[in-house]
Amino acid sequence: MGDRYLALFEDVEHAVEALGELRALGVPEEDLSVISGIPVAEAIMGRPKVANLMARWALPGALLGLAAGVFFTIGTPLMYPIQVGGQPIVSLPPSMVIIYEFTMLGVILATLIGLLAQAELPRWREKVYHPAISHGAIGILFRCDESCFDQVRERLRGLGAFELIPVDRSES
Amino acid sequence: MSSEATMHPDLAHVEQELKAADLLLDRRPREEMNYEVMRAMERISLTWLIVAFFLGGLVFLGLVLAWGYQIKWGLGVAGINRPVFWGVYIANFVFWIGISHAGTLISAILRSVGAEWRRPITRAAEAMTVFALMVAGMYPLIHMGRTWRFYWMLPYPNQRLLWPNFRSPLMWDMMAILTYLTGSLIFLYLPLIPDLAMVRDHSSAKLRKKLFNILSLGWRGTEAEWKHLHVAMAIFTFIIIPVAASVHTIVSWDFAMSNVPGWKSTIFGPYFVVGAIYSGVGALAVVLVMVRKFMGFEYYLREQHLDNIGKIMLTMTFFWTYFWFNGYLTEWYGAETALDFLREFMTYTGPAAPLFYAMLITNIIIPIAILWSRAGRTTPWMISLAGISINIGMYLERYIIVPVTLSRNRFPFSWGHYVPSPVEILISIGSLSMFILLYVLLSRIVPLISVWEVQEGQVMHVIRRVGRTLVPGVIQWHKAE
Repeated sequence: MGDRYLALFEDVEHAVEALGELRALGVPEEDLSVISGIPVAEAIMGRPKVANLMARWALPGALLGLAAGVFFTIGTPLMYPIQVGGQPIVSLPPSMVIIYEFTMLGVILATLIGLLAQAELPRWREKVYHPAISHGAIGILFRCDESCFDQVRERLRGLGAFELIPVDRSES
Repeated sequence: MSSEATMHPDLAHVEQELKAADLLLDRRPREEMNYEVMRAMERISLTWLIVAFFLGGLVFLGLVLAWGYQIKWGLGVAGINRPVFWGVYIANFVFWIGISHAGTLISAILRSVGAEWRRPITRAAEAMTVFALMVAGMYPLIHMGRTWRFYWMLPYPNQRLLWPNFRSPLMWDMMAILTYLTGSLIFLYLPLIPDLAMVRDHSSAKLRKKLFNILSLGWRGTEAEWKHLHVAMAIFTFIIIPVAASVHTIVSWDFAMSNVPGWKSTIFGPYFVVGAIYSGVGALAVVLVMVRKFMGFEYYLREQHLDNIGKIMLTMTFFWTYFWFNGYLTEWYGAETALDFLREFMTYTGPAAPLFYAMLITNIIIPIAILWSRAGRTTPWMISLAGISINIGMYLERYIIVPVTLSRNRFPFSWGHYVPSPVEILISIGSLSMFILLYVLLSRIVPLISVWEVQEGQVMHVIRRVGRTLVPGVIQWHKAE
């Protein structure tokens, strides 16, 4: 364990080199993370793949939506039957439209909830960040102790880090 | 890339041409793009204020005074009467649902096929969908007359144990619009989050910074955030396409499920979807030209975008003509008496014939004449003219389908004639003004260009030397495994 630091680079190539340098200095993969202004595939940065579990949210959402659709179109007429001149209480073809829309609505809402849960949003109080990132800079967040940082500092500067910020642990 | 051009002076000219033709090859620093888009957001000129107040005045006149007058005195102040019980309110509803189709649907289709040129236009298109749906959603309430009873449509177990009839096409409408509006709002919001964070990062005013921090959900751009945003957008892209198609199909079923001559048609579902996309793309072209001109986005919205939108419009012109003629010919061949009455009423020298011929001219002849040539597609005022013409034509088509068709039925003794009342006209003007006003206001609240998507595209596009010339190429680095 040690303090966290944020190093900012102007381009991907230098950031990739810096990641290699940090690994060589013994910073474990789980103490590294990349923050960027555009999506950069994990393979380009040589980072482990981020687990994608969005389908696990979308599918139950679809099933919940389907159940809600069935409840409204089939359940409620059975609960409160109103006889209308020889027409059936439950009829499948016209119910399909509502069931379809509810299913889609279920997927939409579940995907949104899944995104927020997986990406851990909202995080309004998170301070480990630098506005230069939305100007296109690549940030590498890493953790190392003081002696390690002394070694790292010069190497990262040499690789083009234009900012090297110690992150206050209490704020993170 | 540029070094190769430096080595071969002849190629410098080729490189310049490639950059001028394609935004994604004409790379600019992200910082510069951010500030350019933010400056356009923050610029509140006198002209902007005059336009906003003028539109606000029209909204007040139409949606507060005229609608308030109708609420006070009842639906009798509208022009609808037996046998035309559906007038311009329903025509407007169908029209606005149609406009909503170009935004999210076109954006989703272009995203799903990886059309790279879409990057600067998707947000402007998606915003159009949300606003058009808001306007469309008002019309069933206006048409109800007793608007305050709207909650009768909502599913709640009331004291009489009488639930809404979910098998009614009108209930289908409500569910479809609710689903599409929810999906479209999220589809607009998700790719907006990184740009909201950009505004947060570079705003100096404290309140603004705080507001954008809330709106951006504290976005930082971590690996997990990007990954899940990407996957969520992929899911939405494929979910929203069938939802969009279902919305206008269901709107068409409001008509096709009846037994009214001229409405009962099996082709109405796809015909309405095609018509919706057609009018929506036309409106999108007009919106893009306006955004480009009044927000100074000439760098982002180039000839290539107008040309591509123009090609989609031209294709949709042929599709719409095909569907319209298909419906017309099969009904004509059927020679049903009631439809003969209707045809006599709206074609040849019938009272509604000017509307019918104006529809064909504005929907087919004018768009083809303009969009056939590249010059027509890439000249802003010409493509706008085509877009406006298409929307006039599509409005006439909806007007013909709704009140004109209802004017003639199987019983000549119950034929009627419908003329919209001043209240209906004022409400229609108010709703159009509301759509434009919402857009004008949005342009000062959020970035109308998705800057991060443009930068992502620019990073992926390169100019390479192949043989004796330079050619554009794409590195799909988001697909790196």
